[in-house]
Amino acid sequence: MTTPPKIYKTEAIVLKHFAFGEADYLLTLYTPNVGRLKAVVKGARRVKSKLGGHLEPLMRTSLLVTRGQNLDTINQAEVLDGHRAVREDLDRLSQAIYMMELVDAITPEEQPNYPIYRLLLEAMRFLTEAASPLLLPYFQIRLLGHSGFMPELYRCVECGKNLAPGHHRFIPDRGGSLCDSCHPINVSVLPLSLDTLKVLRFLQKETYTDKLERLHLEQETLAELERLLEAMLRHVLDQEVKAARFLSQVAQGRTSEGAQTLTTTNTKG
Amino acid sequence: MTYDYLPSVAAPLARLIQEFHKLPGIGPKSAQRLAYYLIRMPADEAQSLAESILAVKEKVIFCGVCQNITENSPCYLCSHEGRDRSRICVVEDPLDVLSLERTGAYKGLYHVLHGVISPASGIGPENLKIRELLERLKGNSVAEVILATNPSLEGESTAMYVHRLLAPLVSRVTWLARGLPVGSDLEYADDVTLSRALEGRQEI
Repeated sequence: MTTPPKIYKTEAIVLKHFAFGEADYLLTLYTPNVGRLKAVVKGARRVKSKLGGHLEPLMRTSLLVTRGQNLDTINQAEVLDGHRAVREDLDRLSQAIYMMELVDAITPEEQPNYPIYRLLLEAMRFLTEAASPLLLPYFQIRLLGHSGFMPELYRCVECGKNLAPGHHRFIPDRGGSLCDSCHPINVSVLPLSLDTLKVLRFLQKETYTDKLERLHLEQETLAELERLLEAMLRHVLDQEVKAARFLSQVAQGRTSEGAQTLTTTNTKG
Repeated sequence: MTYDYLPSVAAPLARLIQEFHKLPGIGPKSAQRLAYYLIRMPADEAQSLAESILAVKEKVIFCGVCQNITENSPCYLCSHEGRDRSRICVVEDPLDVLSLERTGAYKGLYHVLHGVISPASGIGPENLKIRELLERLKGNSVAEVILATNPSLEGESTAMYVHRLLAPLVSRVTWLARGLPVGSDLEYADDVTLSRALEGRQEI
């Protein structure tokens, strides 16, 4: 085996940053060839930092990195795509932050997974164009798939028989659909309507295009989709996705009702 | 708590080392060095240090109006007669108030949020002083709210979130311009900053 080079070039999407030391940031990056990676940017929090503006979360950046004993250090950076349209819209921003946390949580450190990198780029590209209610479910199901947790949607996970249309439920802990005749004990089973099953199969199979955005879905189907995928992710990650709360807070704030609850629940006079 | 791992050290000293060790950026060696330094310090100086630590915990409170750290509520800035009461500048931290005051260019009032929304660290809007800001705006006629959070992802999320809540209450909500810092280099400027600097260009 050859020793890895001391200095290497890569491109990356910045998943998150964390204030570190006096003026540094500790970054979590997702790269096409190394997977999830941690690296330090020195002085990035200073006003005159040459690197800081190129390494904000959500940005796709070209990097020159020096291998360190514990942590790698970023020497040069140039932004390839700042995804400005996403940064400047609260709804899309909250979705992007959620996606970044999901990738951070589900991927192991320094294990290359190119399909996930491509999925991230694809999702950010669509998010730059418009916010779509199906983009997040698409991202979730594909991310599960690329991580080795693709949900089973055609057979019963207990008995292995093909599902009869209209007779199916969902069992997040076993990673897929369940027929009506199986009754496993001690696991939570969620309802799964035919519409939702069809949408799930579609998202699993088809690539994301503009056609998907025009697909009209009932509010109920979307809500069920969200519930099932969230339950599945919670099982896989064994932890809550913290950004999910912000996502729902932002969605709530879009209606004036959300703003009302925040203003009227004050305890002080 | 036990200090058994330092059996050769006098118990009060071991305790002091442990206390220093809790401070940010202080490792075991620096903690020991600080503790031994204190031993050689004159008694009145040590007394003064101890008292000032206690005083800071007892006497410093949040201003009831702007939420800044203060000794009296309302604080010096909120009760100052020369300040423009029709403007409120919203900042992340008390230190940001100092920075803005240093410019001398702003004569209005402040509101300190004490943090930013950071979904990845689990800090949501409910952990900040946003509710206090909305309450403050309902009672008073304010002409302008300036959102002066940092131009980072968290700062901008916070500004946009606060803006959504403020929009029905205030006629004019602004945020600080993004542009090139003094003494910087165009070559190293990122695309977002540079394009915003172009949009905000001015006549010479």
